[in-house]
Amino acid sequence: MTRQSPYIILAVMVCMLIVSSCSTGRALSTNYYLENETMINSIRDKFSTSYAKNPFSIEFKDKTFRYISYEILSDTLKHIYNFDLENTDFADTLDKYNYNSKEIIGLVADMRLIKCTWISKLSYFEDRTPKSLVFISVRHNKLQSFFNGEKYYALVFFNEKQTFDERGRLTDKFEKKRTREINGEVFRKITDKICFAITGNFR
Amino acid sequence: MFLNNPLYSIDNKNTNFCGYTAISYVALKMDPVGYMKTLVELYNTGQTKMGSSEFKPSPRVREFAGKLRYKGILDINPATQMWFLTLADHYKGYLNLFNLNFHEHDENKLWAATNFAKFNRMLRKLFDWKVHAMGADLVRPPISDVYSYLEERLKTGIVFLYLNNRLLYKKNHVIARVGIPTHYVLLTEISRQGNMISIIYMDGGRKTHQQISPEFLKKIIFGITYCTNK
Repeated sequence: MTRQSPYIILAVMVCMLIVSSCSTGRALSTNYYLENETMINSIRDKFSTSYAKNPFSIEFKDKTFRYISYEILSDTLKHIYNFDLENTDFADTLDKYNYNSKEIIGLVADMRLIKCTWISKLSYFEDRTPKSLVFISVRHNKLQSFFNGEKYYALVFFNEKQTFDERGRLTDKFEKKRTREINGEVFRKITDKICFAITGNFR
Repeated sequence: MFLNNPLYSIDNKNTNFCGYTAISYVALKMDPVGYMKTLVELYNTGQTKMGSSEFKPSPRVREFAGKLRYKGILDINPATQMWFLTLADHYKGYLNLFNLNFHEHDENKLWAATNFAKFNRMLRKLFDWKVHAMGADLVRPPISDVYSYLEERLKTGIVFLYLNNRLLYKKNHVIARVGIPTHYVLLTEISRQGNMISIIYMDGGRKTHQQISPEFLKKIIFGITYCTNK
């Protein structure tokens, strides 16, 4: 063995680690939704039902999923409150703002189960018509790595079928050659109405 | 929608326009007719004036105004797109030296960024105000009681805050060791509830209320701009 051999081996191992980090993200993206479809769709449905009565967003602020930020959305003002889920003031605040606390707390519990860090509704325009989609982000262990940093599995749920290019990337419905961005990210097809992206931010 | 609710035109989703939106909100509140006339004139003729500044955006800005997409309500407000792009095209700070001329998608990049000195210079050029600024891009203002300072200033003038937005609106779970300010808001109210502070501020056309601790308030603020009439 030459003197350079240990360094060559080390370099090859580092390269393999980097490559495996990248491919883990791709493998997760194709399977994660299908493996968790029931729970993810349940979260989306619960959120949509509650949102229709009283708009809101939910963020889990920490990796232990103990602290949340709850955004109460009214026409004139957005209130952002932070809670420790081990205390009772979250339920008290929900009641004060006329949310169904049982529904919301149930939704939060489901989000915790699958490590869903963020759920919200995003508005956008299509041919000058306002539309909306549900946006959720999941913090999956397989996506976290020293080389890639913090990554999240983001899912968007449209109400209508969308268009995609030959690489499965979401495109603009009217300019089909233009990839469509959501929060600055390009999303890829899972179904005609559901797309995903691996993102550095959960919102 | 633009005429029925002008506030809808003040949005900065997925852009680096927060400095321009904070300033534009004040212009809209103070003189809504004048503000709208300025936007319409700029959009129709390619030039306009506000304060001591005369604006004539570059051909590329004029070409892309109205074509920005996936920016929320801004998608359907070409006149506001033109206005924000023009402000970014006209006023320059050291951050813009890395990217001086507009190219497609530069609304998300350093081309549109606003450092603190540039923000305060824009205020002096656009309005007939005394502009007092404390803090800097990397140094917090040397104020021990930030709450009292802000409360007093709000009684007699307009207050803008230059904030570390990564702490105020977390987007990931990275624990940032070096905090930098990236966002401008217009502070409208501040009050105490027990050991917490309630702040209400205009952020991208939306009034937002948050309850935070005094320590967190001090941590996130890098610049305070206080404006009064001359």
